Amino acid sequence: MHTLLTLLLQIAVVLVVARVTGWLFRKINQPQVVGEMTAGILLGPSVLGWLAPGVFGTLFPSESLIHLNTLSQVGLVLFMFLVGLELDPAMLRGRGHVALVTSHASIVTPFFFGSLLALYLYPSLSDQSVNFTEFALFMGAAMSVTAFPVLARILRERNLLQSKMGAVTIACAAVDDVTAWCILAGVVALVRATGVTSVLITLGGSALYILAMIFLVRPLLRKLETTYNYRGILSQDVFALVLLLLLASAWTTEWLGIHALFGAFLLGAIMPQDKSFVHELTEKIESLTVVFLLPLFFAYTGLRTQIGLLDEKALWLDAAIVIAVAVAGKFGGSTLAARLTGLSWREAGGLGVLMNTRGLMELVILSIGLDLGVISPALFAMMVLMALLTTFMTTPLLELIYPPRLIRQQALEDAGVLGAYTVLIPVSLPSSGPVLLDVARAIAPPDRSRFYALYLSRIDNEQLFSRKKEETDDMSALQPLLDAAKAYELDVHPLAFVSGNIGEDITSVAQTKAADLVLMGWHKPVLSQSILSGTVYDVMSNVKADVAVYMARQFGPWRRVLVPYGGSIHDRAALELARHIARTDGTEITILHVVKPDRSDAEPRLGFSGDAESFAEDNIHLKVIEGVDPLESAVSEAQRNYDLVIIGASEEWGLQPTLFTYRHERFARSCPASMLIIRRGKAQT
Amino acid sequence: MKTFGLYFLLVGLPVIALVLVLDAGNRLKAPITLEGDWVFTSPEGAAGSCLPLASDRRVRIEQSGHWMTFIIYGRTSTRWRGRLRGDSLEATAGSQRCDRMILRAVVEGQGRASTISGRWMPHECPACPEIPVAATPYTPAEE
Repeated sequence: MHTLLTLLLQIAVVLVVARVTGWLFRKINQPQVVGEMTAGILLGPSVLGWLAPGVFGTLFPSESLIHLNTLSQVGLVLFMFLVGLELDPAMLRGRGHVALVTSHASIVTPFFFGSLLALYLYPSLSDQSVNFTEFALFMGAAMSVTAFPVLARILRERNLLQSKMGAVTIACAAVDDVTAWCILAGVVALVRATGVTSVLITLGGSALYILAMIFLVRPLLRKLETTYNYRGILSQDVFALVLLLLLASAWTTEWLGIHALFGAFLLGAIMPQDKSFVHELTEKIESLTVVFLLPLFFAYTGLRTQIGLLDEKALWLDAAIVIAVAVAGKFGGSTLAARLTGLSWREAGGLGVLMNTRGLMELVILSIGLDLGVISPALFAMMVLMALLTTFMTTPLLELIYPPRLIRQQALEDAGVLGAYTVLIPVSLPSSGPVLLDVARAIAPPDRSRFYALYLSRIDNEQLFSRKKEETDDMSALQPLLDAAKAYELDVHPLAFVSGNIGEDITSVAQTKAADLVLMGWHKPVLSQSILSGTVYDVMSNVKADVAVYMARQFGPWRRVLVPYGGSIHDRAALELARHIARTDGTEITILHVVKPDRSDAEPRLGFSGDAESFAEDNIHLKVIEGVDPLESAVSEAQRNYDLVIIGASEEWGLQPTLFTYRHERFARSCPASMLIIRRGKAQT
Repeated sequence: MKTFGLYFLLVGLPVIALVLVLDAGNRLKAPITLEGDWVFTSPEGAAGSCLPLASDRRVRIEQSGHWMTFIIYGRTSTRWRGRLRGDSLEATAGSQRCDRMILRAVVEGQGRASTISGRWMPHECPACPEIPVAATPYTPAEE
């Protein structure tokens, strides 16, 4: 087949398999990157080549792989630039001796374990063309690397970045990454060196290069940043200049003999940390790199991974030893160091699990080792398995050692929110924020309430470098609400972050902040005519707090409020909210109870022990009417000039949350007044 | 003081141990290097159809320490697996007429192997003749 046709076909197949496998892994709560790494193995000789050698030979003829490799290397250069960009020196500041000792120990311990393992592996899995020192140093560097982007993402997703454990972990990972890459650059220089002179040239050249990057290139980057800030947009000229600097930096380090990826990484690391500039750069590069080029690297790595080489028990035993040593060195070393420096066993364990995540960074290092001939194909296969397994085990182990329940508890203790009535207000449109705040003020006692306003912007699951975005422009969506809160002299805590699943994240934040009530606005869902569907359905189904959905149909003060009451727990929740509203002067609350005409006197009037007639408030009235169909009677009553109807989300009123089926929801459609639909939280049902 | 002690315990000691490991490791000996392209030759006429590959055939050896994979040039799907013990190489290959052929050979050279010499032996076929084989590193001029 024509070279270009083959390459296009290869890319298409790789993208499809990577996307599908990534999606499947996301379903089992694994990062997308684990799925994509697995996709590479699936497409390689270990699976496709074994199951369908003909298809494998046609799809990936060996002479065509050079093009795939070239594209994947370009992808890696861009990826390493992004990793460098992600490193923020601020992460290291103020972390104290815990981070210092832990980060250094989390490099040195696995490094030592790796070189110790080299004593065992060198006589059996290497050969005399490789010097022991090079082999041992490479094994040390490969054992000590951490998947910084994956780790940062996991911490962010679990809301752990602000915790002590998260802060120390991110600082350690940043130090690890820089150190591991510097060590690797040294190993590469050592392997490529042809004599003392060439070593000296590499060392001297590298020192000059680093000085030039800090004292010449960094000021230039600052000027580019100033240009960006002046214009407000990243022009194509500035972007092209950054790319040229990236290529020049990668070219220089490759020429010096310390690998192109180090140059790409360093340029990213010295980039001025202006959030919007870095964010825009990241956005421009990230999607193409993560979605298009990195899967090619995974595929190329998979094509070079021959699990079939492990065809003896002894080799599988070696693989098990490699994995055990990798985990013992990184997890064990980091955990022990963190514990000895003052973290609790649980926090130290969580840190150890996260630091043990090897991910893509390990594959990058291993590919370099295989290219240099420092590691053999069988050892490469073992190390790839180790990278996959250590990345895969992160999420379940973290759940085990540092379960979400404890994370929430810690967050509560940190925030000191226990005891207050907490209202979480998720805002999807900036304009709805002030309206929801008015509702929140009316139904929650302001003197002993705590308000959180939450804005979630959607993000694709595979985006790795999204930190800058969440820190920059998303708070603006909450600004109208915050302005209103300021006018009321109300203390509202804004929260904004990116989300892969809005419903899940609202649930998670509600739990983390121990919300008593989640107050949402209603917007017509895309896939449904139903009110209580889509995100509202997700939240109502999962959150433990009470959930109220406000449908604004009238504006102005609520003078007449109707509460249809049938006795369900959701109706009781509606009644409680109504009592809060009753505090407002001039508000009249009518509790409507529909009884059947043929009811016996023995039946309690309201179906609950606390009779509504016992309400002490003068402005709450009970209205009992007879009707065959309570829903019809309530619909008729609601037409009578009420400003607000507070109603339980129960079957009786035709207001049951539903995924996306069409529901008539007659009451909601017929009611001319604004509505507050409340569903009692799972914690109380 | 406590931090310094911890730092020495968790960082300093492993670094010292690392130096010792590197020193000890440099006395270790890895298997001789066979990785690369080789030309396998057998005496003319001796081959018969038992020989797994024609004489003067280029073979790529991929080495993982003691473990070898032999790939016949141009036929990437045909692979044999072999193992090096000291300077003795043993590999198993399929052939056209004989069920399996076993290569038993001696590797010679310093650091990188310069010759492989031995015999192809048909598996479980005492009546079949053993076929002498010798291999030398491939150099482009030979093609």
